[in-house]
Amino acid sequence: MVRRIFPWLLLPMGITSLYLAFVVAPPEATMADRQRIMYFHVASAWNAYLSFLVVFVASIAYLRTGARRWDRTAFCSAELGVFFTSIALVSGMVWGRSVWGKWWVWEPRLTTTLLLWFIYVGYLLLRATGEGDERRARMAAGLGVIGFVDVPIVHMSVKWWNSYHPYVIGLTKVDMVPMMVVALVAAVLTFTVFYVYMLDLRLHMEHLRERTQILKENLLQGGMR
Amino acid sequence: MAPLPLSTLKWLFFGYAVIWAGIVLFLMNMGRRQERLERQLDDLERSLKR
Amino acid sequence: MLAKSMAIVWKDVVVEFRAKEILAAVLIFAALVALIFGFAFDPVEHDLTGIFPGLMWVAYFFAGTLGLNRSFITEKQNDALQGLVLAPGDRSAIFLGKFLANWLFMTLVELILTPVFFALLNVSFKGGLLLAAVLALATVGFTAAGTFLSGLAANTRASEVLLPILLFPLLVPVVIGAVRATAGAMAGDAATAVAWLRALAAYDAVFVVVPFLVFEYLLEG
Repeated sequence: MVRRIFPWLLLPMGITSLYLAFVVAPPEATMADRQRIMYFHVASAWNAYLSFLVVFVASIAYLRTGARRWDRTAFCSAELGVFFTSIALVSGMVWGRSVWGKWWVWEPRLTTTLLLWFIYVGYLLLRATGEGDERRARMAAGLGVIGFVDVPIVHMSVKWWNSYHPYVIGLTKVDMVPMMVVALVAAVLTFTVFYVYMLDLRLHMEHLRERTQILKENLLQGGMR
Repeated sequence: MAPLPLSTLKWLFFGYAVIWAGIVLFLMNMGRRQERLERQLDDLERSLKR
Repeated sequence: MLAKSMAIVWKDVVVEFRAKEILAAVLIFAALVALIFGFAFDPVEHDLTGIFPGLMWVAYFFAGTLGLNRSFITEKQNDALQGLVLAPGDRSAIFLGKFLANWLFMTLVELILTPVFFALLNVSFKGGLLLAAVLALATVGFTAAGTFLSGLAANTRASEVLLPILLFPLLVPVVIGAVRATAGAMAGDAATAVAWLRALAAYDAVFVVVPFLVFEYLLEG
């Protein structure tokens, strides 16, 4: 269902939010057009957090039920999460460079996002090198739970650590006029639908891969007999 | 920094819109290929059961 | 359940006492790091007091990871872990036992090496009781998270490379807390030290309780 309808939704939604972000929304008072990167940067970051929340929920569900479906969901969502985190990081760095003049600032949100990237790349590595299908799924679920629980603690501690620095760069407040809010909401909505669509595609692909694997094993066993 | 003229922004919008359409079409095509693969798998599984 | 944990702690202590392989390696590695830091940062030319907390904790965390790596690997040989799982009592007791044993080893290493660090890096010893509290609490967080992730990584082909990659991002709050609290303790700034000690305690609580709850499901079958 999602696979049939969502692309037709995504096409107009994406074009509308691009139009809102680039043409309708006015340039920001101090940052001018540089601020426009925010719409899709925030949307990517939102998707990243959403993906990791899904990993967390699916991991708990897997540990409780042991259904392969949940393990697959956690895995695919983690992949997408790393993808969107990368986009958020790169666009964040471009933003930092153009607004603060630095490619990297040790700002809590940026730093937490970078750590998220590391945690879930580690998660994918754990999955890539894990032994035994079921055991690997359980270990990954363990990391999926603890990794997400750690996020607010990391954020708080980085924030606190940062508050000791006299040169803290005040988060340049963006004066959002109503049209900017509309553009931002549109971008976030589009990206959310995009995430659901990509997750569905990726899950289906993973499902097919597993079926092919089983088929292959059956064929090999038949050949050996 | 002075705001960009509207025509530049329109061109930017147009460029990104084309990229976006490309991405969505690419994914749609991928979905279609997946469905073909699924049908093939169905056939194979059925023929193996026999 | 506590009996099972204590039995595991006792077993690990006895094994370590007989073989002395992990503790000795961790100790020597951490001391070597102190030596390398000495050459790299030159305590003769510079006063290292400002960066001393960071140097010390980096050495402990890196050296400790070596020891944590072995924690579950040794249990995988001869399927000993299977035996622990099948033994009566909760499986979470395995986590608790392993964590307590690791905490004991790591605290011992730190007790021996902290004076050595101060001496080698030419920093005058300060902090006293507060510093002891920082060592104890930060080590709880480090070994709790480390024990859990070591259990996860033990099931992979590349566990020894994987553990630090999994552990260090999760450890960031402990790194920040330990370094700041140590700096506070050394500067005689009790308020700062206590504030960060509280943060460490919160981290410790989360990273003891959550793995404890999850471990029950991890080691099934």
